[in-house]
Amino acid sequence: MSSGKSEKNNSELLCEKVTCPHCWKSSPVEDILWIAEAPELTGDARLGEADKQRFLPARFDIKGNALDLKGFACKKLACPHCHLEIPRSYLEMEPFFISIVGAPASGKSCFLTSMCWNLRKILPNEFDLNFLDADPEMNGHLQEDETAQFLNDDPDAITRIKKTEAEGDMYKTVMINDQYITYLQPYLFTLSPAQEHFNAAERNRVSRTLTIYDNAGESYLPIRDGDAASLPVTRHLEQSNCIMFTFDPIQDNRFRAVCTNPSNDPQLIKETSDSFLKSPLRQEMVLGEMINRTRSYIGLHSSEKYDRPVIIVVTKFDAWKDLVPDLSMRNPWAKTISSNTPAFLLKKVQDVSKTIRELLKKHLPEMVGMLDQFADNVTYIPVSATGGPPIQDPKTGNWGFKANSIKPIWVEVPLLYALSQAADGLVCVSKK
Amino acid sequence: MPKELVYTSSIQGLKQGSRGFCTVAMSPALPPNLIVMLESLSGYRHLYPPNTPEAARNPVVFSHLSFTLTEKEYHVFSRVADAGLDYSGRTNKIADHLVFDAAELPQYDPVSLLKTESTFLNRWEGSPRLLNESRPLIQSQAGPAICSLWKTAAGDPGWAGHIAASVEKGRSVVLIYRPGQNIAALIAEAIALLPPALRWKAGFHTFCSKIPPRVNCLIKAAPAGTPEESGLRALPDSLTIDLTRNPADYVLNELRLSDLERRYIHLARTGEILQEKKSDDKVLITRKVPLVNGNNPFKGQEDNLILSSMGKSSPLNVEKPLEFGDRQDTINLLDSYYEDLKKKEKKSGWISGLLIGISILLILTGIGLLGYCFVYKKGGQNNPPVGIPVSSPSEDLPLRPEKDL
Repeated sequence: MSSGKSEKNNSELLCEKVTCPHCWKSSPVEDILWIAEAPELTGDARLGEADKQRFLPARFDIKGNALDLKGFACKKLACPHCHLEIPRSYLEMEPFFISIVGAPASGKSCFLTSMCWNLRKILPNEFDLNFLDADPEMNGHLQEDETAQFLNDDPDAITRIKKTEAEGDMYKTVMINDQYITYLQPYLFTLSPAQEHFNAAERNRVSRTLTIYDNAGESYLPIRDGDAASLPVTRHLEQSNCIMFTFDPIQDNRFRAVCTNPSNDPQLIKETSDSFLKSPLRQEMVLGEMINRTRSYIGLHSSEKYDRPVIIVVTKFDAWKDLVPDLSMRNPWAKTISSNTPAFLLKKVQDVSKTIRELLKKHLPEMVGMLDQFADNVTYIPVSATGGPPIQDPKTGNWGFKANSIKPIWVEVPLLYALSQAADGLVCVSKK
Repeated sequence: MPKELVYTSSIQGLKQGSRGFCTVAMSPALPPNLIVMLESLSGYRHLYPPNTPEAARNPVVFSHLSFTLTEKEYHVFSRVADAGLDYSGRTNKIADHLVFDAAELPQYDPVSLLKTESTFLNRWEGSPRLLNESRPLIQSQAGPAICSLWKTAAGDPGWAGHIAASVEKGRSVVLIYRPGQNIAALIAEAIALLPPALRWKAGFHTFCSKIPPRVNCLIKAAPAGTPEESGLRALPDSLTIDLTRNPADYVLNELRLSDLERRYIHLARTGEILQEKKSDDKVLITRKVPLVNGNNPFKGQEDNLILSSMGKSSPLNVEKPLEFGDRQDTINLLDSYYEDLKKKEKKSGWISGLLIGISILLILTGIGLLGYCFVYKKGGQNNPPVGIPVSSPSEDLPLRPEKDL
């Protein structure tokens, strides 16, 4: 993990060490490579013939940009180990890694899309935090999904997020020591206080680059060679400041049996539920695999507990909300009276977590037991990425959600909770 | 027979516990690192949602990539395409990979494989399984023909020849096409112009994003309007052909073409190999070569060389007809003959001189010995020769004064 800041120089503070968001190798900031700009300087030994060359510069222009062999000023940076691009903000802010884990079809991508969309509005408006794409190109897929769901040209369009792939353009294959190694490309954001923020003066210290890993659910299945060294796509669990495990309760037959949703959710009605889920997977297997891998990566003794926050994001709340009729889902933040600073209501979230935990313990005791044994700081947060059930497109027969009518519930709360627990100074916390 | 791996989204995969996007079928005993590589080559991006009228325009991605893993060379022929919805009602794809090792290549023709619909699976049904028996694949060789598809797409079949020449020279080719255009057929037509031995050199990918390092792929294509298009256009030193432009706007600049390009362009336009016009003076290079010990040093090379001489003992006039494409080979051949002969001459000359010298020496030695023997035989032993006065020194003869030493 990167640590420390060098002395102030030209009003720009750089971290002494930089952790690559792709390969998680930590390197001194002076070893960071630059990416050539000259058209002829194409072809990198680790990335292939289509990528620009990486180099350690010897010459700089007046603005501090490195000059490549042909004299072009360069701006992009790369990791010295894997040669993949690193946004500049990684040199300036400490990273905050979040792993989103879950079984296939548990709603990870839906949750992530709705969460990012809501955060873009709520963080600046309610918490005086700037939430920006660190690299819009790297976040391209996420932006496409956001546009399809929330900014669609056709408000009546029925959309559904594509299934996350276990390979393809979200994965980068590099050659290191004559071995092909495939890394997952994360989503990258910067989180920094706005002028009105209570810690605006400490901006350089409290700002973070948010790195979110959204694997395909298949990456967490307990299969032989599923965690090969040449495919280290889940090893971000070692670096994570917070693990978010998406749990879809209606994939579990025991939970489904008690869901008596009178709103005719097609995911629960026998005649249509097969369109969504044939032969549901036991999600506690995926949870167990995640726990085993995390212990292995960090080197935790079996008696030791994981000391970072674990958030169980219980998805599709709209489908099972009738099981907790008294649960208040009002926004868990309020402006403080004294300074008008927005504060995150920690106790409210903890009360909700307690209720959900009891519900899950009643129907899925083994899962709760597994979590209690793994970590001390486990929080259960119910969310709905869409706010309502899927509907069928009469033209195509596809199931999806009406664009521009999606109303997520509590999707921003897991991240706010994670920041309150593990990123000091960004979110003002009220313990009442 | 080639090995095979099929990858799609299924409720149950071949590996115990796998589901979702996973391998559902494969040949036995595929190396684990090859399986990982093939799965990583199974990526696909839908341009249009499934079950919509536009879904038919989702690209069908064909590729031929070659690479080395643990010192073994593999050629992977793949088809990846949209496969509707999976068991969870979400987008699905199917990837079918055929893996050839170097020894198998001469039995198959990539052009024929690409043109044959039954080469690849386009849907998967049933349980996951090992493919203990390989599917029969077409083994005939497709010959070169007039590139009519290129005429329609780009206005001139010669563009296919241009691509073939680029492949032979090892130069990258970038093709930008309209979604729905049959780019695989265009690529097949171009590759068919190459001799069979070179066709496996023509790696290609019809929806190319990032090719892993050290993977051979000379022909890269992408649909217009995709992020992949801008990435490919930025590749330096590539022959870039934009098939979305009006064919009438395409003009092949024939002023700067090399002989190789002319040959392929002619083949693409006419289906025939270009016959080079031979001039009366067909000699590329001439050497006057002396005979070696009175013998013709080029005996046995009469098929390749034209030999003539002014007389039996005169130097040979050696001429070699120019053949297309082997200009440098011809020069090298004759020069090497000439150098060899010069060396042989020097060597034989030296040997001859040595022999002559030794002979002369022996003769002189013999004469000397004979002469010596003759002189001794005539004179006898201890008798002074008759008529030659002998006197001993006497006291009355004046003596030379002794010189001081």
